[in-house]
Amino acid sequence: MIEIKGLAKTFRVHQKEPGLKGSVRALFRRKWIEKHALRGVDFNVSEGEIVGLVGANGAGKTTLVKIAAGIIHPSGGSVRVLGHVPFARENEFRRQIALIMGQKAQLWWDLPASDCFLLLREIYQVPKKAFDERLAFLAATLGVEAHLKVQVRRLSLGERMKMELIAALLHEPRVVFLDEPTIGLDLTAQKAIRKFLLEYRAVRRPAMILTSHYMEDIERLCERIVILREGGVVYDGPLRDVAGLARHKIVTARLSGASAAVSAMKPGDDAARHFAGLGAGRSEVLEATEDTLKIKARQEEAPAVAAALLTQLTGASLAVVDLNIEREDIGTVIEAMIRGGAVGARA
Amino acid sequence: MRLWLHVLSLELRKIVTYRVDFWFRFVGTLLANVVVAYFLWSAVFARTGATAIRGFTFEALILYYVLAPLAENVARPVDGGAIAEEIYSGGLTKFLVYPASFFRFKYVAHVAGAAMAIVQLAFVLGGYALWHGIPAEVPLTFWTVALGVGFALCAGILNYLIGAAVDQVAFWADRVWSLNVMVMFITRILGGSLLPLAMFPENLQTVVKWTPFPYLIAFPVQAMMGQIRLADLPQAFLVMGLWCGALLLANRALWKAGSLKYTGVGI
Repeated sequence: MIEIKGLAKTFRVHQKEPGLKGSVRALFRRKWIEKHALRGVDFNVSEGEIVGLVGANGAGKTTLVKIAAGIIHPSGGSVRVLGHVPFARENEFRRQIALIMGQKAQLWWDLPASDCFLLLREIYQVPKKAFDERLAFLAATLGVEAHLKVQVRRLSLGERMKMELIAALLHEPRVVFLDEPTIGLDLTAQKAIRKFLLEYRAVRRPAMILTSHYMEDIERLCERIVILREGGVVYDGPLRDVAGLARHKIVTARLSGASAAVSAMKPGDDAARHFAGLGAGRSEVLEATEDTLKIKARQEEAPAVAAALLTQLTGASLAVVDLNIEREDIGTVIEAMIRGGAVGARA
Repeated sequence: MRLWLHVLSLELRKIVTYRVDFWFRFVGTLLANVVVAYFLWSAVFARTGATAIRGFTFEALILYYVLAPLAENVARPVDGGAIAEEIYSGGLTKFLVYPASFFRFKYVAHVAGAAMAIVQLAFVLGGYALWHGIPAEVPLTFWTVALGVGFALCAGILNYLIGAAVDQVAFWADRVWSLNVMVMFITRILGGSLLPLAMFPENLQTVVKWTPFPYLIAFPVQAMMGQIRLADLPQAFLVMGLWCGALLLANRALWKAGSLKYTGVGI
């Protein structure tokens, strides 16, 4: 449903020196630089699939979504959504897509949400019966029936976001672009929106692209992720496989008793400083308290760390009562991939 | 069509919602215009001792200044800059996603403003006629007012196209407020809002008649005051038609080039 090939976008932005002097100078002479927001991005999204687009600020996520929705023009490459070129903005294309931007209100600020929805019914030519049914379903699922007649600008952020979701889905789009849909929302609202999106996906099977800085959104909603770094794809594959790309394991020991050796450890210490037989720079203390010692170690070093904990910590005054070795959580691995510090093989 | 009627109804509701702004904007412009004109022309007539200047008696001139902001409000109901603001703030994004024309949305907002301006015109003109009376030398009737309003509505299309072209400069310049203010001043000067066109030198009048500006204010006012002859209409519509055509082409070209520049960023 979404085919992206060699997509590139370069912005020309002007740079201004700080201060009044810089501002005055910029009036006469401006320094322009080229910013490559996307560099040859390729990926596809199929029906019923939610693809998580992950990356640091400025990695190109929103730019990609805007190009795929037909808002901005690409500098190179091609995009086809439902067989259409988005930037041509044919009505047939626009009737089948929706764009939700968490950072930007799309509803009419001065109108009650219900008036906005009626207007959208006319824009998308949704038959009255279908409109009434969909609105009732969406409002009930998101729990906002009581706020439909309130002016949009008077709604809380969470309520507004739910209204934005309803507005975007009333015409039952086949492709949905979600750009940080849970930004700034409290945990309850985030959960409600995630649950709603999963239900919607199960029933309507749209193709969705989701960008979010919240790992929880990605982990709960996406089976597949695309990681962008500096405008390029560094990973495109199943989310579950990301765990396999972890370079580190976390060794956690639960302790009983007191030990001067543990008290001397501080987060960030090289574990080799405290345990004999470990390679320098291969493991790091994450946490050292009275009852817990947590060490991050390279995959191959983890057994040696575990053995060292068991043999070297256990003594007259201290016992290891539990030992656990686990993979780094997906969020940490993704974060490392975003920064460029972890395995970045493209699936 | 149903969509645009719906949008029109929403826009009308929006205008009425902010009724303080609705009346202040209007009353402010009207009072400023009439009070300044009254004192200025009182002094001119007193000093020269004339009973009429360029065909206008003092009473007819004051009526002209009452009608000028009313006609201007019908032809130019929305302050310039609405389209530029959408481009600058990134608000244009939502319109690009909808399967409907952005420019029609904005034009319908313009029509809603014009409809409210006609209501204001009826109130003010009716009130003025009852309170002060219409000068005997001015052949103002219901039909001349209807002709003037109809003409102002046509001129509104021209005004909308001028505003849209100026606003689209925001694709390159971000902020075009100053440009809009300049266009507003030029419109008011050459449109006959500050001074009736009859007061201009003959040569200038001939040139100005080939620009779009007199048709936005002076022409509708003169039509209401019964000063337009049938013979004047063909040239008026020809000039307006030519300008509309040229502005349509300019708007299309600006949109084609400007939307390539649009980044959708904003506050």
